[in-house]
Amino acid sequence: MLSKEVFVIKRLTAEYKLWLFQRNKKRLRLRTQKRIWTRQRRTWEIEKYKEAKQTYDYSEKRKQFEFHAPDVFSFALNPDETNAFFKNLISFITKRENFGRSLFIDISKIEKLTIDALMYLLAIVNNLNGKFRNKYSFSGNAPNKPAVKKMFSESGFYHFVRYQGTEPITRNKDNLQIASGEKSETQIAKKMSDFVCSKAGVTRLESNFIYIMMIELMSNTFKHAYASGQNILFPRWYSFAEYDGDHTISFTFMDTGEGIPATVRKNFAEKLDVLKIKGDSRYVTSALDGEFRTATGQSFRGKGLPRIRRFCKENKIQNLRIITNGADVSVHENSYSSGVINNPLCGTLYYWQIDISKLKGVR
Amino acid sequence: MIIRIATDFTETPGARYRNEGDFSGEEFRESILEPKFLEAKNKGEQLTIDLDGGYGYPTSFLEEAFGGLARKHGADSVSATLVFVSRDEPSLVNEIQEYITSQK
Repeated sequence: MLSKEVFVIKRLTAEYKLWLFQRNKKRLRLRTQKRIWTRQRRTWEIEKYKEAKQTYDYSEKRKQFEFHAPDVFSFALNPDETNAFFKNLISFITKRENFGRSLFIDISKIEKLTIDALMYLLAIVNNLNGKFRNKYSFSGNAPNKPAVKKMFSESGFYHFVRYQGTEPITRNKDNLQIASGEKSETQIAKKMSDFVCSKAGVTRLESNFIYIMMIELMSNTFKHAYASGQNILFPRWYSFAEYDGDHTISFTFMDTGEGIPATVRKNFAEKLDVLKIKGDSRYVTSALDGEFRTATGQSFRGKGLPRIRRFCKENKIQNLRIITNGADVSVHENSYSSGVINNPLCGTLYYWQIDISKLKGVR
Repeated sequence: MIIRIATDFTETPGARYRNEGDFSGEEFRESILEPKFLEAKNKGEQLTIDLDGGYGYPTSFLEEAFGGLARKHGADSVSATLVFVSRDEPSLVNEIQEYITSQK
């Protein structure tokens, strides 16, 4: 009751009215002043950024994060340039000062493309290990050339990435889109075997070597490819199969591990050969020949690659080519031919074909 | 006694160890082969392994299943108890026997 009386008295007095007038005047002054300051700051910022915008070299800045794929984007057809492209990308990713940046992969100008390069690109975009994951954001474009763009869309690449715009995923009944896994995925190997059966018109028994080969390669990836744990990528393999509509089915299998020469068992002299004078190919050929190369050191292991070699000798598979580290080995029925890769591939790529006409009756 | 791998275990055999994926040689040996092998051995019977009907047998699967059994129970005992049947791929039988005898 007392406070109400005080309020009534104060409200009616001349002093109160004067106080109220002065307070409102003060508030108006402060509001006006604040508005002037805000306007001044905004004008100053616009001028500042206008100046910065004029002097900032956007093109030069962008160049640092933009990676242009070579015209022939393929390990099989252009191993040196393709390896150099990925080496450049990996070296950028591993530098701590680049963390947090966004990378743009420009493949718009490529003229020729094979699946192996797309697989490697997918591995880098999707499977960076914990140290590098979430440190980068990737974006990119699609090839401009219609034939290459069609192949790109049909490869299954879009299943692994987010995309903008209309549905770009297309399917081709003559290929088995890119599949990926960490361990031995029996269902994917089965799918591969069924694909061969349907395209070649053979029985499951006649195509069982494809199933066996797939499991052996998947298993090698899991066991050896990431043995040291120093790889910047998570353990994963990628596979793809394509039927040419006539008599050939081509297969690509890739892992982004450390590569066969880096993981096989070496003797004392080989360990000393740090300059790699004798090249990496001999490690691949000796592993295929079944020499005691298994990194596990157990004599009952290391039989997967020799079995694949046997499939070549039996002419079940043709044109087997293995690119790994600095080695490029082509496996023939009874011999090998090898080349050297100047920019070593961090991983292993297997490429082989089967001739349908030779498949019937094979056991 | 008989084990038909395609129906009793899987049509799609996998790699060597359990940690390498489904239907591994180790899984087959521990869950099916070894118990039946011991049962057959105790009864003095032979255990027939029917290999037909699958998608194919990876080397590591066969080695771990049968070579692994020979490493544990002795090659002679395994050779004496197991009998292999493969009408689809007869060469498999020799291959498996090599894995067993190499453990001697």
